[in-house]
Amino acid sequence: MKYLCLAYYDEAVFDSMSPAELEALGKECAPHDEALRRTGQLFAVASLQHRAAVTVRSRSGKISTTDGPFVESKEQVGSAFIVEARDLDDAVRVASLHPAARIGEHLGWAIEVRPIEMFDLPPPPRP
Amino acid sequence: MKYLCLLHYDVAKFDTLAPADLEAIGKDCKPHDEALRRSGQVVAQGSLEHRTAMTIRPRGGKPETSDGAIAATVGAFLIIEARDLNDAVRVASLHPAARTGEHLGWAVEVRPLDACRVGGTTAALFEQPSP
Repeated sequence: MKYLCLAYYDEAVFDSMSPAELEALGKECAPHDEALRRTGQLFAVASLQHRAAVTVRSRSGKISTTDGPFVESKEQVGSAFIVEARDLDDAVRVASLHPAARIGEHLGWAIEVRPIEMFDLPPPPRP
Repeated sequence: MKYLCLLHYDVAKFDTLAPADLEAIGKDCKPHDEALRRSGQVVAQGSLEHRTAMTIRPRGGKPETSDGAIAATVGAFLIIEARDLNDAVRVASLHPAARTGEHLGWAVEVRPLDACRVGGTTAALFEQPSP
């Protein structure tokens, strides 16, 4: 079964970081990223652009587009990954290897693990 | 370039829906789902189990686990391929959550991806160059 893991971070804290701090953070993350990769249970990985979001919704039957995320909160999704796991416990065990579960307490890091009910990879369109 | 679309909904409102309401919503969604698929720009899509979530936070260097979600509004997701943000918004606008479900708190959040790899084995995931 597949699980969607959303990794959250505090955008404002990230904004305040110097290039040297970001580099140090990257080094701190590397062994955790490697441990996560070694599980062989990752199915997809994605990193989101910082502070780039558009929200689309229906308003009185018309499509309304606004800049910004759905919820204006200090915790925003910064990356996402899909884990292949036996059950929710196994998915949490794998997700707990991610840097956002181990370090970055001061950066507002956290991971939400969600079971995927239906998953589909549509075939590419025919030319 | 790839874009992650997070499909949000009002969890409490969803709980109040009767089976007949859900069936009617399914019917409303169908033509939009088909239009989205016909775009040929959907790379992956998934729906999440309602109200099942665990949160992991680092505490003193160790992962601490608790029940429940952080945002609690994400019900499904899409990864789409698009030329640019405008094209991604155009494709995301085909989704039922952008067309209907105003009373259900539906919305589509479109997020550009710096890097994205989907499918195959974990090893293949990291071998293939990021498009």
